[in-house]
Amino acid sequence: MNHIVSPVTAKIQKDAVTLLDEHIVEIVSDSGEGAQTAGQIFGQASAMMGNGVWTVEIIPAEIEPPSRSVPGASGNRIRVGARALHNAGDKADVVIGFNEQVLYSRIDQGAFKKGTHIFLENKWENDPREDVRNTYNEALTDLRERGYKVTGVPMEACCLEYVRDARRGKNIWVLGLLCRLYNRDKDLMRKMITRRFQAKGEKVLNSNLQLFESGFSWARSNLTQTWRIPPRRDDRPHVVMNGNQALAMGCMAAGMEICSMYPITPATSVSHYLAANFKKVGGFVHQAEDEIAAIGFAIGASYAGKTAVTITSGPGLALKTEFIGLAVMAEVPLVIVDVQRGGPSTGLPTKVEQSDLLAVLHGSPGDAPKIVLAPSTIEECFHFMITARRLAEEFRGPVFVLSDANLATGVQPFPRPRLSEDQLSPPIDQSDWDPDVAPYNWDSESGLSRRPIPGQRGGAYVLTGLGHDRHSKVVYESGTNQKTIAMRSKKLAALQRTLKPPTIFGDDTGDLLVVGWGSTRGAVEEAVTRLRKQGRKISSVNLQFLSPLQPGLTEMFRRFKKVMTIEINYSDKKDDPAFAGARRPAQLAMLLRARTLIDIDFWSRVPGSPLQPGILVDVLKHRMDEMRGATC
Amino acid sequence: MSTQALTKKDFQSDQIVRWCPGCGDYAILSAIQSTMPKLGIDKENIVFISGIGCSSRFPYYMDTYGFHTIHGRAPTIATGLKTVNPDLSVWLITGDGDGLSIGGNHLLHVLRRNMDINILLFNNQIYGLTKGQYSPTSEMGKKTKSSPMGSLESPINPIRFALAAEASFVARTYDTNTRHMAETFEKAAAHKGTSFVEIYQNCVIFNKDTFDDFYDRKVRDDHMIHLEEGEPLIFGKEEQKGVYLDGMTPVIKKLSEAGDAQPLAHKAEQISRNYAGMLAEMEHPAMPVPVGVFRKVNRPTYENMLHDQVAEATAKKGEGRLEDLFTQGDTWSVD
Repeated sequence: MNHIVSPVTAKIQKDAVTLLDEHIVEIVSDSGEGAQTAGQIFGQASAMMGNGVWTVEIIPAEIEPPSRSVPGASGNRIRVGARALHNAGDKADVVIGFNEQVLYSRIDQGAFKKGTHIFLENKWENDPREDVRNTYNEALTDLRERGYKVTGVPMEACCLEYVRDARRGKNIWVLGLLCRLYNRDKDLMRKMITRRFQAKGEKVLNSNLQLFESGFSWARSNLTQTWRIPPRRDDRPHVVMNGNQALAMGCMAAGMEICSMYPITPATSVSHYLAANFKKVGGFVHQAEDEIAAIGFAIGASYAGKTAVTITSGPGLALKTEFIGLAVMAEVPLVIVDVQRGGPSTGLPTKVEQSDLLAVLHGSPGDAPKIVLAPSTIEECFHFMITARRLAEEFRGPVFVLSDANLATGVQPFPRPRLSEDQLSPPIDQSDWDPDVAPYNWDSESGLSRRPIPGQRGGAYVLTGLGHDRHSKVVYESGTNQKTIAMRSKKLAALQRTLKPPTIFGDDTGDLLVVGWGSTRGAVEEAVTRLRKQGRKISSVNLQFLSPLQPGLTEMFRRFKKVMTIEINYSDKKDDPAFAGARRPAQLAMLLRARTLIDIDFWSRVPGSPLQPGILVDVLKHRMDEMRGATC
Repeated sequence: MSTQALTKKDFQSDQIVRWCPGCGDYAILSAIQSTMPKLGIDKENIVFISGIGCSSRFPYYMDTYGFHTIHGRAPTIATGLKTVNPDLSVWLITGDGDGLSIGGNHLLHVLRRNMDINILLFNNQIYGLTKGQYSPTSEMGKKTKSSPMGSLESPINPIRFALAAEASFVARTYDTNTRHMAETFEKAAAHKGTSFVEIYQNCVIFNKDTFDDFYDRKVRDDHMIHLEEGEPLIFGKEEQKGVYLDGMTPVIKKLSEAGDAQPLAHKAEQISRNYAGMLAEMEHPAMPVPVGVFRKVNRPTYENMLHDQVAEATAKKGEGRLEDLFTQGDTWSVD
């Protein structure tokens, strides 16, 4: 459990400013009240002041859910620290609530702890509706009984001095409050507010700046305690963005010019960012008639010689399955981004899950080997797109980038990427094709071959989804499918030979090795760090390649007494007798057990929220204690 | 390789054609192969894309680039291909099942976008490759292996489908008239925008002679109208008949009995789809079956508008530098 004030670094200063190692702030409102805007500005300003930052959006599934409702909670969680942060952390230290009902959504998620400071809009205590007054007062008592420190705040009353509709101003007023509370750079925040609102005209901008000042003054007069989180030391230039924006930028940095998509949560914003910027650099976004057409267009574009990207989430992935098989079979380079959300079916559209791994690996009928990468940070979302394009072209087939809703909406600063020509794939040779070279001139060792492009003289040939030989001729002879599938499989083996074993976080021997993939890395490494400080012999490893797997895993795993995965997908609980003898494993665990023949354990959950490191600490401690019990 | 020198033979591939003996597809293939040299396009710039079904085997038999894709989805690939490389001559081969059943959505949207591609829909009113189930163009009540008591579905009229989807070029031809096919394909290739051509095609195995009642050489003059721009809608071998309007309804009259009334004159180039729609509704046996170009209008193609947008963005904002996206906005150094 982390403390509001870290006992190590905190010291009361003369001016009543307390130094903090880190804090987690949540701003929670009804949808449409702008809590997300406030949270984004607060997070960005903190990042620009040199703090480690991780922000995550709190998103209701509907666009305009009813006001003052528990499921309508909308807003932002901002974790700010004196060091780099890679996850959303545990329990909130400070919460700004625009009404009491939305707070219960966060309480259900286990987002608060005893001692959490809640700054709550107090206009509800004088609401003309009796039931509203009653629920507010009951909640106030309840929240205090739960151990939260609740302060009523006259947000509406203050805002009405500057705007007629306080719903359109509270967020910036709150930003003023937070600016004072955390001693943020006031000029910087004013500048960011200006940038956000200047397009809306002077009047709107001025009233927002007044709201900001008003919130600031209120905090100065009414809050005696303020905090400061010192910057981390890193003088490299930085950028700050969320994972979807990083994917979009990676797409452009890789030199890809075509993104074909069909709108789907939580992947869509990748294409929005591209649509806004792509044409400036000669690219375009194609919005197709459905998910199937989106990948079909991308395959057509790649077939024409320009490797395209298609971006989707679980339900869209399901629809694309047949085309993915075609891209494998006909060997068409293609980048497919899956921003995973909760499933099955429509599932939890706005919530994080890592449930598509096995579907991506094995979803196609027949044997369809493909390359699968999983970025674990916002920065990797950027870099992996560059890798993905290169691999797609080099290995002539589809490459998956498995992101998730946690990375998609998580905002993090990272060193500004260096752009260079080497990030681009070499241009495709369009000179005349030697008619004596077959369109699938498979190298017998690596399975690699070069492809002719329509328009290229001498290369006229017919691609097909039917079983075919190296001349792309349909074959019916027995044994051919065995040979040609082996060629496509060799490509994965060839890629694997070029990969390095993954880097272990911690010692390379010990009692427990935690294996994870994708966005859980930050929470896993934070939990492992805390446990190592307690003297536990625990390490972790994050797998960036899921297909092919990086080499050396079996040897690595054998150096630990026990190996287990941590994942955000479903697995049967260990202690539930209903599953005795038939326990279904988590997805990565299933894969690794099959590939290493090691009895790999697992813990996975589908809470619809990112994993909290504190919960992982408890889980891992418990498993390690069980091990001790077993060996004694 | 000089375009001038190309002949029909240059477009025949080395593959053995594997359609059933007597299949209408042979005549269509031959008509396409003889059309190609007339287009003056280099072979490497021609691409045939197909879905799944008997007709979709077509690309194998053309000595050009080709892609035999998956069921119903060929329009999506053709759209991506043509958008990226507008210089290619893209031909999409589909059938009544591939195009109007499993791929109905994509066909709708490719027509709506007005991609500059040519779509040939082989309509044999049956599923052939899967051995004889009723298709979306089969007549209601059709008895097949999957509908032993008769199908319960009203058939789709492909021409009306294309018109409803705002197709800019809609035509119909038939496999027993090689010359008409070749002429229609040439017109389709010349049109800038999506050209949709329905081809009545005989399936000798599962739906034999289904069109014979009106397109057989012996009877066709009395049951078909060959549409020619500006020409009156008249037909009939012995006794000439014409199509006249009675209010909003087309009626057939003998020319000899029409008095001063003039038969309708064909006009494919009109924005309103009402006239083309009326022609499409003329079905055997009540009316003569029209073949030829139903509608031809000019409207911008998707790929041209898209490339114009990219050019406009570059012209307005100057050639974008990727670096700018990384050095403007939320970027900073901590001192």
